[in-house]
Amino acid sequence: MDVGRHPLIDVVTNAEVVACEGGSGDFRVRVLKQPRFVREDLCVACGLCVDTCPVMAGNEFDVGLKARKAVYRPFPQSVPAAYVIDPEYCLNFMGYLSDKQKQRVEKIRETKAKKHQKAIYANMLVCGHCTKACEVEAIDFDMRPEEIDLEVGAIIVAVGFQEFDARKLGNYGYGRFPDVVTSLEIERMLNASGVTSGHVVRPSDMTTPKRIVFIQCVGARGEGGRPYCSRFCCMNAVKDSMLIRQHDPEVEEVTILYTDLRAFGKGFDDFVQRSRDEKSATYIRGRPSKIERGEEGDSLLVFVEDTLEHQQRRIGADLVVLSVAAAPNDGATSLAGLLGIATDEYGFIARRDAAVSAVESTRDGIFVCGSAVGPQVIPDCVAQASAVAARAQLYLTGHRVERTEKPVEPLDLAGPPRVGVFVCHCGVNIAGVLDVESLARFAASLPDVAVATDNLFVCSSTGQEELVAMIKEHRLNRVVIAACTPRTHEPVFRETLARVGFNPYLLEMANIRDQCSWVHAEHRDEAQEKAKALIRMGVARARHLEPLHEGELPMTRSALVIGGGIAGIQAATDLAVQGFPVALVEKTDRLGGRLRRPNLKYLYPNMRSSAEVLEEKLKRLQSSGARVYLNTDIESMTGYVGNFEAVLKGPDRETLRVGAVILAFGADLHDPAGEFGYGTLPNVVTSAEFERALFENEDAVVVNGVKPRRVSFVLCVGSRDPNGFTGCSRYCCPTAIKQALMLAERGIDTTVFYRDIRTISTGAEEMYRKARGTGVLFIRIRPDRKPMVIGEGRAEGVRCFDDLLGRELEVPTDLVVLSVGMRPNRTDTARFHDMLKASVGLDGFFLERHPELAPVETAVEGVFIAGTVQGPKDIVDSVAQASAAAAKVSVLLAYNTVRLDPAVSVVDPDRCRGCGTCVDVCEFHAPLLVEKEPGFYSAEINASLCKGCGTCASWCPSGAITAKHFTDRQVHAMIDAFFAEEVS
Amino acid sequence: MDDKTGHSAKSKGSRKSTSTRWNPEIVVFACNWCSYAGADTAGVSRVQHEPHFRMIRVMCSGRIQPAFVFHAFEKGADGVLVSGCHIGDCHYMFGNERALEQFEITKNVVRILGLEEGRLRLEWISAAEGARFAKVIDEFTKEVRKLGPSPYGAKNSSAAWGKKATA
Repeated sequence: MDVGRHPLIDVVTNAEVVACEGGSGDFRVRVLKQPRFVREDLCVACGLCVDTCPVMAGNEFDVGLKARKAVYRPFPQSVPAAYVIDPEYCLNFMGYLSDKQKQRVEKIRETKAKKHQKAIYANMLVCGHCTKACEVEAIDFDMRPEEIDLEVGAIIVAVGFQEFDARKLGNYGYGRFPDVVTSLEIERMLNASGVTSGHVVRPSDMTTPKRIVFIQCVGARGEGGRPYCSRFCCMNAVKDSMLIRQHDPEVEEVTILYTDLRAFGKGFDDFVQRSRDEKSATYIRGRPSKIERGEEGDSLLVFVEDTLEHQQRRIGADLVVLSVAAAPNDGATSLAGLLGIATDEYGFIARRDAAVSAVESTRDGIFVCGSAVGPQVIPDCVAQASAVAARAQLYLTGHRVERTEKPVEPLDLAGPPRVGVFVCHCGVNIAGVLDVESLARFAASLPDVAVATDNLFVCSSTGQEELVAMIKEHRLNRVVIAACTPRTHEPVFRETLARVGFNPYLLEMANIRDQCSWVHAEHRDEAQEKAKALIRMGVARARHLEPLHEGELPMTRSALVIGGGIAGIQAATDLAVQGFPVALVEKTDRLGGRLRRPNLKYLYPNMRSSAEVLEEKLKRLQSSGARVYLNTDIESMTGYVGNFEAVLKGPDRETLRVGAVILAFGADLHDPAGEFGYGTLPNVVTSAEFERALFENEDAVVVNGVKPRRVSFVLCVGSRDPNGFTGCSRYCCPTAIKQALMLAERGIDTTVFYRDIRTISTGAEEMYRKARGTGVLFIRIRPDRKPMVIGEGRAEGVRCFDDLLGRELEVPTDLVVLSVGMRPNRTDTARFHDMLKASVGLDGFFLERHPELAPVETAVEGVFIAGTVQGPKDIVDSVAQASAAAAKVSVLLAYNTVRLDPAVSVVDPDRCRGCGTCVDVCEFHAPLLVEKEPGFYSAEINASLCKGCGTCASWCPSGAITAKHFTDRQVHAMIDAFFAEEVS
Repeated sequence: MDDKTGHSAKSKGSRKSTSTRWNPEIVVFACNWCSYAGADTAGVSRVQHEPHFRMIRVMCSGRIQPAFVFHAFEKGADGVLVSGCHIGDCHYMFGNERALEQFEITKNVVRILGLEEGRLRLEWISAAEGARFAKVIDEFTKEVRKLGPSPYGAKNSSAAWGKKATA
């Protein structure tokens, strides 16, 4: 929606690229836009046309589970909000007319065209229902395909993926058995505005399935000729199992059939553990061979070997969900051909260098992000999307547009409060638990409420249009939106209000979703009462809200990047090439972090030399104009967005003034002291030490003086530990396999002891298969029975319980390599947390503002994070985040000013007696005692330093300080409203 | 209640018993950055918990002055929970320490007013601690239930027994 209404973004839908010429900085692209037959500028999405259309078709968005008409809106929150007519189904298209009719229509068209008149009138159409029904004359059958020629500096390919066609796996019966569905189909069922309003049903008889079985890796990891991993399916199935449990208590059993449980991202393992704790699903390791119809009635039987219990099973299921892999989009290959970029062996858009490129295609000036490059989870897609924005900017220099704001005529908001209450359904997120219409009626009955209404999604473009319309119609001067948490959409609503001249601070939100319907679903009556109380309290506060106006401060248009590893280097380069002054501060004497010698020799999956990659990056950094400070640390930092002041301590001392800060100082590695004999046995090393040893000898592998003939790798050392770091460190599986493969190729016996193989990065799964093919032995162990390193004075073997074999084994070894996990750099994290107040998560890494919506932002404006400082990840992801952070910073630095929050504290000089309490309690030195008359002091608060916490307001003994937007009167009114008599 | 999700509407008759059961009314003062966000996190993670409380959001726990707490009890609150960021983690650096200082004063006065100690509680809850927020609410609700209706609340009949639960 933000995209749809941005003045600099032109959304061209129903269109595709048909030609592309030129090169980076100067592409000439021809786009063919198919007609919608509905005028986008006129359609108001009222839906009247749909009611009158006589033709039914399958709904693509609901994957055929729901019907639509020939005229339809693709999905509830589509941008633009206009409807579209499908020429394949609409009766008016030539295919339905006889030859004679076609001739007649053509003749009329010609005649009318000469007279510049609209050729098709409703009564000349085969079917004119929608045209007649439309009250704004938006239906236009005269629309023709349009060719649009664009001149652009850069191209971004984000064509996503399509589902693997599960019909290719005949043994799973998709297409034969109606109760075998794909993960996308069940998503549509679970979705509030989908087919069944969030309820899971068997397509065959619309009853609730009692037993659901999820089959993972359908179309991935070997099936159907595709070896790659589809990355998101494991977590998706776990999430679906939890949602199903919540929505449908009649579901008795959910089983997930997996091979490796790939919970690789931040918080993923904790989520899976929660699923296990809550028993949302039973996890069985096995890949089914076939699905057959069961004996009793319509149920299905899934034939699978439980590889951990060593049993052949026939699992009865009422519904089977195939977690289908992401496949390249059908049109991707031809698009790639048009653009002159390469695709990989599967048909996904190829990255320039799989070891390090996050978003670069094989051609300069053309970028790619999201699942177009291969399956991705959402946080990675979002980081990549921001990253391309940073990269593409390089080709757009000279076209920067200044912020143009049309001055808006402010609405007349004077007079007694006239409150409008908008209660949101949020699909079924709220409506599934609360009676929303009743809440609206209740709100309407409250004093000072001029109007109250309910809406499916107040945040959608139609919802917001209705909001604005009601404000104008009822001359509202206060708005209460009862919906989600203000922390999500308050800025969006505020902006909508500001655009129409309504002061954005006259908005109050009542949190009836995150803090009501979502958490009191088991107590519906009480939840309803609570929602009513929250609305009553919201209206009470709204009555006392005052219009506030933003101030402005200058923005220091330069940035500081802390940490000279690959992430820091990328971020600094991306910003500097745009012309912003950037300081890159590195504590040690060299840049490169973990990529520099002797830390990493080769990068997976293509074994590129780390030194070469680093050299390329450093060259770009050098020519970018960024200023590099080596042997320098940040001694202190104060300030806020647009106005940070950092004291650098290095060979010299320097104070820098910057507008934004990027934290990219990386992470530590787990120290396995005492584990597996590390520290006592000389031939037990960490993966990092192993890597370093590779530098010492080109021809042979020699570690600590040992030339091993048999090497054992132990994975997950220091990760996935309920007593320590519970998460996955993400980089260790591919690193260990890379190392194992190197050894195996030299004829060295290699064994890998693992819990789950999480080869997530591009090319890593293929590397895993290659390792297996080269004879690397993979032994699956149980987390509660760790392998034991045995030997006298040195490691001689590894004893373990092989979970797949079901037996204890002893593998002789000359060298044990421990794949150590990543750890937060606690000292530096604590220091920068103190300086900047950016939150730190429970895992010790910096906390992103939102895992999907804001993966590289912190809750503190102007402070960004990139790379392993946010959590374990590998090089490609760190580079993506670094570019993403640079993109976000460049948005700030693009302007000369930063807007000031007006919700600050103010002193009433008539009440102030100059006691100085406010000065004492404020951490930000905002209040100052000013001598008004000789001997008489009064406090004044500096609005640019005040953070709006309101502490001074609560301490002032005279009650002289008002904490704007969170005034005493507002709070007291809310307390009163809590206990007010019920008005029904 | 409509039938969208397949759950049958409860008949008014069967609700009678629940509506005459006394439920505590708890006011929770929460800071925007940590505890209110923690409650949202509980929401996002769908961690179910007791519903007998209402949140009042302020920017910082330092904003929570004794007068707010007294007013809540005066109106008949059975329990008041003051929450903010963990010490050392305040978004405004030391606002929560100010809150702690004021809380000592508040606690004293509340005691003098004759309210039981268990009715007023201070908790530091971070934005990530959704599960903990839910746990605190459940525990506090349980404790307040044991204490029964506030001695100041009995006067306010709408806040205690016999309130009709309207849909």
